[in-house]
Amino acid sequence: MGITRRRFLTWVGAAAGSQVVVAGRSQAAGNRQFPGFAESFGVLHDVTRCIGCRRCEAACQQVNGLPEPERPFDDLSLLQQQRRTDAGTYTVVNRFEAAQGPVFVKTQCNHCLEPACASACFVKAFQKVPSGAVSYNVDVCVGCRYCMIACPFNIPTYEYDNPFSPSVQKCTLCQPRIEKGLLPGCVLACPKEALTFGQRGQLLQTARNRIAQHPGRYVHHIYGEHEMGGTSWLYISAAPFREIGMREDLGTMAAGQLTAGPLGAVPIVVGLWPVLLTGIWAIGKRKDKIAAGERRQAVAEAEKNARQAAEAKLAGLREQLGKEKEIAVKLAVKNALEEAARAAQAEALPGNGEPESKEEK
Amino acid sequence: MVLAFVYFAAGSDQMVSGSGRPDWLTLSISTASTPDEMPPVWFAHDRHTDALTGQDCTTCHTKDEGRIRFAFKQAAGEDYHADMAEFHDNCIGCHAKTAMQGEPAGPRAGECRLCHTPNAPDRSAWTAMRFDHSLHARHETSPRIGPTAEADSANCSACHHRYNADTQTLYYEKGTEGACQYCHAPVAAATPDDPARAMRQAAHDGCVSCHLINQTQAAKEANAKFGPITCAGCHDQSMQAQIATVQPLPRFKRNQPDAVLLATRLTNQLAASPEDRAPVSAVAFNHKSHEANVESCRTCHHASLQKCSDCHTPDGSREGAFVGLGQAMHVADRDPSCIGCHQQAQTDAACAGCHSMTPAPDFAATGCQACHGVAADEQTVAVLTDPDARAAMAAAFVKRRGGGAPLPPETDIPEIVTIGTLSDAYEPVRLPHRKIVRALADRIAENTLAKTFHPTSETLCQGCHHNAAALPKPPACASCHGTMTATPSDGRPALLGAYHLQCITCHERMGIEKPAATACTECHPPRSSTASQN
Ligand code: SF4
Ligand code: SF4
Repeated sequence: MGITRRRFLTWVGAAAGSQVVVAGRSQAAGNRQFPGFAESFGVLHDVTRCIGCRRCEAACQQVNGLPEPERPFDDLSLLQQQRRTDAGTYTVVNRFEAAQGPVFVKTQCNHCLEPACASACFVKAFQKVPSGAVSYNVDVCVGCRYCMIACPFNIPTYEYDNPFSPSVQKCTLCQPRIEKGLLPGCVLACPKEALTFGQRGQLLQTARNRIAQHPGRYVHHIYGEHEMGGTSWLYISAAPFREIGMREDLGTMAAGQLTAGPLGAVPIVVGLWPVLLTGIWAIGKRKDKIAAGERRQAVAEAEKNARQAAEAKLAGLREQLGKEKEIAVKLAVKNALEEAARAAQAEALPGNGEPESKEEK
Repeated sequence: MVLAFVYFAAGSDQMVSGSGRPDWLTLSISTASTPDEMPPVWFAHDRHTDALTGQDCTTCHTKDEGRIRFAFKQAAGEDYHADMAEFHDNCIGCHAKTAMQGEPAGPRAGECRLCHTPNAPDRSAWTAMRFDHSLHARHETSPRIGPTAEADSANCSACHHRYNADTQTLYYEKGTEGACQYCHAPVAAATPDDPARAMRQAAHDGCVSCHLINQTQAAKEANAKFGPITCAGCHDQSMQAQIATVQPLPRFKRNQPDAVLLATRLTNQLAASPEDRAPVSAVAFNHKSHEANVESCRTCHHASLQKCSDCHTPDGSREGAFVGLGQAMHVADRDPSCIGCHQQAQTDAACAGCHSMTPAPDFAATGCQACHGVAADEQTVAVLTDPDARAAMAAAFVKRRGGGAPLPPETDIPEIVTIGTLSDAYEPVRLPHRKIVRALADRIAENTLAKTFHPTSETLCQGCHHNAAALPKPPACASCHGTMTATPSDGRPALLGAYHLQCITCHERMGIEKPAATACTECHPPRSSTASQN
């Protein structure tokens, strides 16, 4: 067997991540757990309080200037079906039937402490910022959508409908509002205070207090305290999390750690990283769609950003590449990956979770 | 020694009635030295009794002094291979004979796996039988049972007995009756150290045998009743539901007190330093009302009918599994403790509206005083050594309790409270305050426990006006619940959350379905056009 796409992506994540560490600018992919920015914010979602009114969805649409939905937010019949986030919807509330009756759960980007999306993104479009948000920079995004595959919570979505400047879309934690001292739109709108905004450490304390003060009401677990290395959104619930659509198979290791493993086995990939990245870019599905002008623009923007040395390097490489060279690069990448595959097969390769099943669809 | 035994498919909690058979038994003759070579046999007992109509139990069981022994009679339990042969010969032999007569019959030689299957061929619907207070009352008064000992004038001696280890006989002693489980452990078989049969076996040998005897008797009289004799009769949930309940329940006849003065700690303390009577007040415990409200004596007296403090000494003892008296009474998350059981009672829909919001355990509204109401004064100290005076004192205290909350005059309870917090988007909410107060008061009035623990109207008001001092006009919600900010609070919700949490959660817990939590405009009338112009 050759290289599965999933393995390939894993290495891509690893290669990108490692370079980021060298550059010393992302918290995404270290080989030890990142404890999180000490004062960072998050939101505690107390699922037992949620009534499924969708006020949070409406507020999200409003504060982010998202398109009006086809059906209004007070149409609660939408809760009959399981929905997920899409390019015009950063958050959705879903209904589940648990033993104790209907349970409503709000879903959005969990703003992981060490985000898988950031680990997978080789142009570093995602960054965990000190406020707690995982921010997205559309200017450097090349549209490869590896983040969508990497995210274990199925969050980032893509503007497939936007032919000119499509970008990845996801909840921003209302980063611009937080900077102005305002609460995230959803938190402010929730009539049941099912959403509590605050510093992550204090939210953990609040969650523990609630569990202790109401024996028997909650399962003794704070979802997001450790999942995937910890997330800024935290959840407490009366029903077991697996029964309300939340994955319990994620483990406690951050994405960066998962991808750091195979890296050791394939040092050659690290050495070849610019070539590799260019190769990825070259075989990207969007290649044909990106007009030369757009490409130049992207490159120019990347160059403007002096701190983003890696991107500049990549862009430079891109420009130099002639057609023949590209073929040569492809060959080099292929060889490197095959070699890497053989090396890595000997190693037990830690899985990256979700991507595999996604691919099979 | 090899034992042939029959055991029930245990684990009642996994079994769902109505979707399987209540009568699956597994038959196994395995022992540590000779483990079964095949999976145990799943045996549908009622199917066999139905098929053998006209034959009596002695087809498969022995009769011993008129009572049936519920083990398979041919298997002597002495030799593994001999027992196996007996089972095979008798089961398969009977199946073969039945088949020869042209009747539908069970598996025959060679069809090993039809009997020896790892799982029951059908779901087990076995439900544990609970011998509750009502069922006890029915047996106690049944004219068909009758006493078996001279000392007994009621039916007690028919079931209750004690064991004389020297003579290895059972005898009856009046006034020492207790729950079967105190001696008969649930599943453990009798051992030389503990000759009491397992509860499972004792119950079948005792109950079913007696029902069978009564069945024979009843056959002679028209319409006479007798207890269940099939597995389904006791272990099927729908059959259990058909058992008539006795109302009102008579009290158990064991000379138990009506009221008890619980003063162990005080007594111990006075013994240590006679002058020190400051901190511990005694509890006047209403034994009579508790008796009527629990399933059986075992609800509280879980291991014996001794006083709680005999095992649960103040400092804990081996007999009480080192659970001290204070813990035994107060641990909030255990059933047999006072607080644990009261806490459980608060989950009833009538109570849960207010109580689901208060953190547990909640002593704030009533304080220790609600139970520990008998001050350690001269008068109390004087009665401690005199059982009669003690009981009289406890009774007097109990009698004074439980009047419930006298509501303030109607005019002091605002009829409508108008809340205009969201009036930018809606008309103000008109909260039917007086109606709510009355509804809560009615629910308290229906329940002795609630009456005892809501001695004043303030304890009722505190369901919503929590933490606020009990005042005729409590402070507005907004005095404590402000606007939401990004600075984490002390767990206090902001005003918007406070209102909705209080109202919606209370409605949910009390099972009030209308208005639905998401029907905003049923509480918040939509803003009329004139209003929005203003
Ligand atoms: S939830 Fe997904 S998109 Fe959000 S930070 Fe985590 S990995 Fe990235
Ligand atoms: S606004 Fe609050 S209560 Fe309503 S759906 Fe969102 S989280 Fe649930």
